[in-house]
Amino acid sequence: MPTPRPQSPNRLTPEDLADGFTDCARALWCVATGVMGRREGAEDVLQESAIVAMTKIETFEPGTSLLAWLSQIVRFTALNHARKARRAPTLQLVDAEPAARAPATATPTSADGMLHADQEAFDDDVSAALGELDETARACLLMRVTLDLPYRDIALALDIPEGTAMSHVHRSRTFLRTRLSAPATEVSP
Amino acid sequence: MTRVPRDGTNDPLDDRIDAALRRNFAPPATDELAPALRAAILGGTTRSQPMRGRFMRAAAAVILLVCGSWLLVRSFTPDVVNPYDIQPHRSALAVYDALSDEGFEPLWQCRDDAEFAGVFMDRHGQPLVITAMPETHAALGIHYANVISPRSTLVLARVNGNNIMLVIDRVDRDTDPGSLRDGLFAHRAEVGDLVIYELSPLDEASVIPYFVIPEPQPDAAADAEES
Repeated sequence: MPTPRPQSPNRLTPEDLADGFTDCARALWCVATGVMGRREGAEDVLQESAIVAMTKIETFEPGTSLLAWLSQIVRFTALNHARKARRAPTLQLVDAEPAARAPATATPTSADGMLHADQEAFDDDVSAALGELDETARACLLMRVTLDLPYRDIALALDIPEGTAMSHVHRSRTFLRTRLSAPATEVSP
Repeated sequence: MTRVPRDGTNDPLDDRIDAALRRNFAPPATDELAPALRAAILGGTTRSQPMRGRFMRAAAAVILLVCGSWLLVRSFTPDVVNPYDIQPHRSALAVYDALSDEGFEPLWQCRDDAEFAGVFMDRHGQPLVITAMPETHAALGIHYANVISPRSTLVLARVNGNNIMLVIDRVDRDTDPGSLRDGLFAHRAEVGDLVIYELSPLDEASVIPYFVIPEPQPDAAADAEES
């Protein structure tokens, strides 16, 4: 749980910032991933945010939430990354060596040992449906599901009321459930 | 960490969705994220207590003295590149030649496929392994260089005594790895989200075909399903 260590009543020192950022890193990673809609680049966003936070360290008000402050920086940085990614020209992917194409078909198993050949397709569907959520809802859901964060911490990280965080998670779940149980994406058990 | 009960629903589809989210969007461990963050904030310095007044000035004087001495010494010594630092950009050919001059030694060798796959997962967001190669082929190990991007990963290999250098990075960072000389070829392929350049004196790719995306471990998949 990303509860930043108590800070001194005086100004935030670089050491405090490093400790606090590290404590919150996983939640902030979810924020970055939520804003960008993809996990690739989330670590770059965190590192860039750490540098930005260091340059703005004087603006942090002692006694306020470090997680909320850092999260705001991460959100802005992630938004910039997402905008840059949208503006970047797309590359045409050409297999120079078709033999090199990996056997991407996974054959994972479930807890009962049964093969789920459709798991990869299901994961893709989940990722696609997740991409249709708005940034805040996505970040809420990821923090709740992957980190089991309590709603108060999610609310703190995203600077939203606790009830709004709950609502985002609930509606996101409903959306994903509906989206993934639609006939077009129905999967065999 | 205590698992928080899910929000009132008991739909099996929710379990599958949660498992998929955890498989694909679980954040890295804090230990993995911390070093880069601390380095970004502290600039690679070690922990220190706050210093004030004359202590601060004394420390500044010492730092100046040390830095000055270091610069003086460095100006009389050849450049040494620490491969673990962010390096200046170099062409693939320059890196290949430098490594060849130094004996074509990797920085380190992975213990097993899982560690090898983890290197690419951590650096490029997608795991990668090398399937069994013929006896004429040998994977020597991992190296790092700023060829396509500062995060480019090199795999050094030897095929029939020929030095083979593979430069691996994400497809979305792909750039021209630079010009080559006669007798050296660059073979290119994409494996999932990764692009691989094989620099080789051989006129066809001999190591690239053995790179594949590993299948998820059954245990991990089962754990994810259970959770």
